[in-house]
Amino acid sequence: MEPARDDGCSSGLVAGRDWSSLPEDLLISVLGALQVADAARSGAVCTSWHAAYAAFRRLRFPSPRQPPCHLYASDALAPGATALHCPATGATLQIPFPLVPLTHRPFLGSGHGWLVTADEASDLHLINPVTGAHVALPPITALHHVKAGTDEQGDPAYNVYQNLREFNYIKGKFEVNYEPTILDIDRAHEFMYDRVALSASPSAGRACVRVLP
Amino acid sequence: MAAADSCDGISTSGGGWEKTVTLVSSDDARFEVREAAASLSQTVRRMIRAGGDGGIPLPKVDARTLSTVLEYCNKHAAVPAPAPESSSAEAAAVDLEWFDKELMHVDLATLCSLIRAADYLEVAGLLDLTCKTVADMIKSKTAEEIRQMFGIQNDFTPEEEEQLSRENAGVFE
Repeated sequence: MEPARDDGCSSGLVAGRDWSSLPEDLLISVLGALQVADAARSGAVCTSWHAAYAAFRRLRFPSPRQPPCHLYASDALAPGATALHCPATGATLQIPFPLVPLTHRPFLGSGHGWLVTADEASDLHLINPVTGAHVALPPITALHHVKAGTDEQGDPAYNVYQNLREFNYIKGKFEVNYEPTILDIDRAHEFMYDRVALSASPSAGRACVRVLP
Repeated sequence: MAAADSCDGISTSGGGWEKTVTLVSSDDARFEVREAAASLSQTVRRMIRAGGDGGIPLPKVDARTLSTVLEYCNKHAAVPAPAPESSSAEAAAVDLEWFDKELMHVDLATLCSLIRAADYLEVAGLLDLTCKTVADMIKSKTAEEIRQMFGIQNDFTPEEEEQLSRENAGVFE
């Protein structure tokens, strides 16, 4: 074997400088050959690898080695546990979701690797299926026209004051309807949220935008 | 012979002579290569088309790296178009796989140069091979282990680091 040449030519630099300065598109090619968990760990190596990882996620590059995964609640792993199962490799990654058992959770949107889901009180949560990270969004009652109240039976419900102008056929003119719409707390998300979109990754610490119907 | 048919290089009938090209590395080493092999590099192929004599200059690749790249090209260009399902085609594929594996037994600095060279020369197969090799090395390692392996400095601020470990809570076990 010839001795390593580290004099002069640009491609023969010390390994350390070399690897962290690998161009982003090459790092992305490497990330594309990894599975999600490995790619996420690579993103925590140094800032340039992190930038490549962020670009990789943003561009939604296909990962040929990352077969589709199945996210599901699995009591077999642990009570209330969430599993990310890769059918192709047979690997199952247990995802430590704080708080939320995954069963009966509606999925309202996704973006930047995060899923948007609602809990039994129709409050929105962001969860990251790969890392298990969880962020609670402001409760549904933070919307200006939603108040916590009761329904006709006196059970907890949300009162939604839409104050829509409706045509009153008796009076023959438009009137504002001040009566609230009453929603079951666990079903309110169906009415209130059509789709949820994220403007930026929640981990970037910036604002997220929710799209309402 | 069959390999030469895939590009402009023409072997003289029956004689076994093949058209060759000369590649010149950054440190002025000259490599005479069969055009069929050199054409696995899209960059070189374009330069062959563009014409010119006195060798094709490759200022971004040193001799040591280029010789490994050419080892790859020579081997892969020599593989005849496989007759599907024949046992010899299968054997050739196994042989090639073995060759690739052996070729990747290099130190990390060389591997890094190879990735860059494969990218610059646009040798798709080699780029894929080197990236997969790196991916296999990274697999199942923690960020710290990856840093140590590749000699990468952790240049995150403490805040960024904390943010990352929060983000990746599930992945770092």
